[in-house]
Amino acid sequence: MTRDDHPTRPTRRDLLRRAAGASALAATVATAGCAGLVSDDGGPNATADCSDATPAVDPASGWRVANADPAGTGVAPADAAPDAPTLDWRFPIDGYVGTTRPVVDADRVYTHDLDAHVYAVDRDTGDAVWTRDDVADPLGSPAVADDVLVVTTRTATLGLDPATGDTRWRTAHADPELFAGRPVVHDDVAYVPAGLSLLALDVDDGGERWQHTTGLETTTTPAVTDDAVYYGDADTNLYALDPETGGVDWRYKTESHFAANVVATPDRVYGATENDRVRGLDHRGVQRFATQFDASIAHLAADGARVYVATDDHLTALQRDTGSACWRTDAYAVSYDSGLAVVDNAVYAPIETTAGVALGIYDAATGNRRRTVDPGTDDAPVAVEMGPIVADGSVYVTGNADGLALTSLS
Amino acid sequence: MRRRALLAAAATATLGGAAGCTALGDDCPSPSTDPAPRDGPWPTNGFDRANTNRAPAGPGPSSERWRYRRGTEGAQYLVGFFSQPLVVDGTVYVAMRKGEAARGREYAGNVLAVDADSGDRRFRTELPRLAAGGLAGRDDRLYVGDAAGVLHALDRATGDVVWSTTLGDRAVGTPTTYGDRVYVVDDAGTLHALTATGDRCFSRSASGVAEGLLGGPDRRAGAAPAVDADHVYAAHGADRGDRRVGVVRAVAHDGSVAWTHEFPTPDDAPNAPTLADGRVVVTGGDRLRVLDADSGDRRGEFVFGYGHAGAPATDGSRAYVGAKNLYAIRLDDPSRAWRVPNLAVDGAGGWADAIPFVARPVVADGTVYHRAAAYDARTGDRRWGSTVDDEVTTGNYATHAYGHQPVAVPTVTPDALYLAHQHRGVVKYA
Repeated sequence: MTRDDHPTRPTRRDLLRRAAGASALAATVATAGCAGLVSDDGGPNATADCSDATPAVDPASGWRVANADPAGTGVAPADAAPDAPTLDWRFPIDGYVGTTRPVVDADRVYTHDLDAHVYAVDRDTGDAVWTRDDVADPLGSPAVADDVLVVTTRTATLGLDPATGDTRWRTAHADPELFAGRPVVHDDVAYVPAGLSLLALDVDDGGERWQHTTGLETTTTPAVTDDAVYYGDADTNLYALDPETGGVDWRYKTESHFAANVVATPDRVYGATENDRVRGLDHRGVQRFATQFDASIAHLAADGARVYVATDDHLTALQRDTGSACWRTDAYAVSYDSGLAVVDNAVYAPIETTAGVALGIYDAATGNRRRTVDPGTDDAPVAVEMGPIVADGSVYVTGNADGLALTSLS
Repeated sequence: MRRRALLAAAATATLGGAAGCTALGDDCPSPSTDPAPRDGPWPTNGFDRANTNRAPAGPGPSSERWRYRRGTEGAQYLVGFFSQPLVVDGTVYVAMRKGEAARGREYAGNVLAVDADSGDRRFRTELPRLAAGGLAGRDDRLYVGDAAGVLHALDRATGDVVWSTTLGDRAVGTPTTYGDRVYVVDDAGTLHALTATGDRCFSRSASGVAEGLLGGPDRRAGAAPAVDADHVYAAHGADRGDRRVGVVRAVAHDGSVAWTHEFPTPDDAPNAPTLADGRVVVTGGDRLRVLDADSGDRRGEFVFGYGHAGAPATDGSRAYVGAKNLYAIRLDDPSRAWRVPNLAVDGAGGWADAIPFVARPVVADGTVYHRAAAYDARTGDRRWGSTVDDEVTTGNYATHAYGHQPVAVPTVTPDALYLAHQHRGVVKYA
């Protein structure tokens, strides 16, 4: 199916109501802290009660790709959550350029310095298993399969041996944007946003299975399921591609570039556009809602009960089918690679505090903050700007606190 | 000698300063409603007064026959952008127009006539300033506006300047003829109507008398108006506080404004509008708008995802637009019928790798022509040619020198494709 317009095109009244809702929300947040409630289509005082919604995502163990699993949900198994996260170890990252959200397999944590170094760090000890210092211009989070660590750079995608760091293969491609989508690995295929194309590469040898080229930037991290590869593009479309052939099953046309990431749950696909809207589609490409925000959308996660939306200063939960707001906090700390993790009915997010960027843990149903993990001490700072990711009882974050670092909390 | 005569003519023909709107004079009767049959095979910029860029027929697989370079004039290096070629009675006409790189510079302009068979020059007429748009052709005349605010009429056979009229101090864009009328928009967004003999009928400013008297801001205009029996459809850019818009106006032949439509164009002025089966199709910035020609009401929109779309061509049911990619857009419910991806990326060397497809395509008998290539108008499948230009791909041509102006502008006749190619000059493929 191909859609070139909005099945649920908003009317002028819709837009006015949304604008009124956004204004009211801002006012509510200012006076009532984290308990503001609003619906994009329910008027200024509407409240979507999502507290009874049941998560429908079956989370995968580990955190092998940028957004937890190939579908990009950001959801980790309930038993992955630590009871009371405290500093476990801190691994220094070279230089000052920056870093990215890490990924993990059973043994190691992987990240890089956006410059030349790629690191594999022992999960238990925090010691380097190996370091590569010759990978020019790595971009975004890597993705790790059983036998390959996939790292995208400005000029190529590399397949490294996760145990040794040795290069297994290299596939050249065009120049991706610095903060474009991250690679996703699913069923022995790496789906790589690369400049004007989305590439499907064989993880064994880097061979190209197919590419989908639009002539404009591939701007989002794809969401991959057994049935489809979903991704958003600067050409204003969200695509559903056949994983085997790369053929277009359907595309959904909007009026703005897609941004951030795409999330697929068992019956919905969520994406965000640069005109600050979160879109909810069904798996046939029919739009179910478009919720207007008042700030750039940095990241999405979804557990099948709600959609969690990170913007410049807020974390908002939307009802999964209607896009109405369930709750909203006023404390999200956006960075160039911030994210979200959803674990055991809690949402982990970087938040601004008077002491710096801390880790906030919110009740997924109500938005009430359960816990704040402070940014450490002067002697032992914890940088949580990039992340968090949660796996097997540990939280991993990266960022700059008295130097770039990868930190484990457990 | 010719330049001196031209300057004298311009001085004596200068009209008063820009006014809000002058009334239709007694010497400006309503234009004939049925324009005379055009000369051909490509008589005017945009092919016709509706700016369709649609020709009856085009060539099959072709290769280069000749090229007329900037340096062909020996010591007279041709400065500026080559305008879209006209092809009439075996002669190719092109004007040298100002571009981003020439903005603010007082270069002389040129109108060239080249033999369509041999590529040899027939005449070159120097103008005091670069042209600010393309050529309009009608009967035995060529009309061209320049960057100093003067509209010129040239004898098509000899290149002699027949008359010149100063319309103001703003650059004068591409004219469009209708009957014995000549319509043109200047950089202030003022629509001027003149007779074929250079008498002014009216000037309709962008937004009123006061602004017209004071000169007003730079409206970033110059696109050729589209004209039908009822209206002149003229487009210009405007600032509305912190946002920029494209403005399309329908002005009756007596100078009265029938309707005005605005749409967001964040970076660019709107391109020349085109008429398609009762609709006005206009592009600007990142989008295409479809308007009802009678009312100006919005019928639909398509957003390209690229901020500098080129002007549309149309066969009545679809618009063909070069943006980053080349698109065919259904007009009934604006949507993409097909797309030819352009693999250009920022920072790449070579125009084929770095320059978007912003030139207005030509549609002719089921074929769309763009650069030196032809595509099936129904499917977008390439029939012949290539978007890649080996000669310049290896060169270090800087994209920014062209702003967002097209680098290779096509014109099509039944047996040839002519490209106004900013590196190569005027090139004939047949």
